[in-house]
Amino acid sequence: MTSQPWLAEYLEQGAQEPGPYAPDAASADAARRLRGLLADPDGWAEPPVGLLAQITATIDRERATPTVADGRRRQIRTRRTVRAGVAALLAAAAVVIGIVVTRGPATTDVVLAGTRLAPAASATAKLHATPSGLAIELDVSKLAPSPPGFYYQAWMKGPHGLVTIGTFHMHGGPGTVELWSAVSLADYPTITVTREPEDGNPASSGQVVLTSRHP
Amino acid sequence: MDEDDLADAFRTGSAEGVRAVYERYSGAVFTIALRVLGDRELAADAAQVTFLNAWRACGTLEPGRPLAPWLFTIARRAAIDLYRRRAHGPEPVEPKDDATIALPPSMECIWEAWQIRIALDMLPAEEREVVRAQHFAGLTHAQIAQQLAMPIGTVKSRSHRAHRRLASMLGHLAEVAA
Repeated sequence: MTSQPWLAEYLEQGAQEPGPYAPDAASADAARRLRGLLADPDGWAEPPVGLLAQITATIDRERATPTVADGRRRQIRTRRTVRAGVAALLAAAAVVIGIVVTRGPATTDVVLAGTRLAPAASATAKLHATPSGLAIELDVSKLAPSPPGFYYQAWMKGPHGLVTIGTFHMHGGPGTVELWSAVSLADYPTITVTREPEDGNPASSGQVVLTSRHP
Repeated sequence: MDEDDLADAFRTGSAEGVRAVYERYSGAVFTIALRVLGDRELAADAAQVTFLNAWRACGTLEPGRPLAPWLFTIARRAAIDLYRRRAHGPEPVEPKDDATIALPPSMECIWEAWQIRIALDMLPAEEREVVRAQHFAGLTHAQIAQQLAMPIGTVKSRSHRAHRRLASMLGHLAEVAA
């Protein structure tokens, strides 16, 4: 927080122009904008009565019906609190998510299933280790083309975080997507695909449409 | 409950944590949804989606990571998603004039509105009441004193303290702009 006596005085006095108070033109512009926002009805609007009850009711319903999101949340908590068991978890997860050696020791298959956002979708990722990194062929089935203003983004997730491995749109219909990763499946054992808005925000939207299976 | 305790409570996904975060941030979430969507009903939908998505993702809130910017990102995204779904809805009967097509407010505008609302909600209730009467209703100190049935000296002292607090919480916005 920064002490700005001139700003307090300008806002309090209700003067139309901040010129006599602000130290420079840019600060005056900012102060004028702040004053405008303080008078903006949106800035004082209250959410409708009953909204909290609707939210808690939905949460109660979801608690009663475990979802993919619940699974992800439980998995994240587990990873944080049981660091010592990570290696064992990864080994167990590798078995359960269906990693199957198919083309010699450098190639593995990972099965991805559609979430409730795309329940009919599925995919198989063929991971092939190369000197440059992990080459991934994602064979996608029944995933609708991304809607206007959105695209799909593939990720690898692990205890160290989230790494993007490419974007695609499926506008040509079902098929194979070529992705690349610089991180290993051992360190990032979960593969997901999210739907992302084209808003320039590099963070994941959290809208997972495909995910590799969890224990 | 301070910010760290609030984040800890929310991270557990408990009903108490959700309720506490709602009480602290629902005004700010609703404000930015309104600024993006310009419609109370849609803004309420966006606010609901925000808190549900935040609850579903509470396990991804790293310990020590501030809650407010994390929630802001979720709230902004929920509002923009709804804005785009509405924009990509059925064609209107009357074609839109290009000049009337509105873009959502910029990230900076939404962030400013978020911070101002949080600052207002952090004011003590009696100071917030005076600030609201002054800026939102456009009343003078004398008119506020009359409306709230209190001495004008009390109005002035509350207004003075409130604006000091606001300038302290929001001064960085003026500095950034400068």
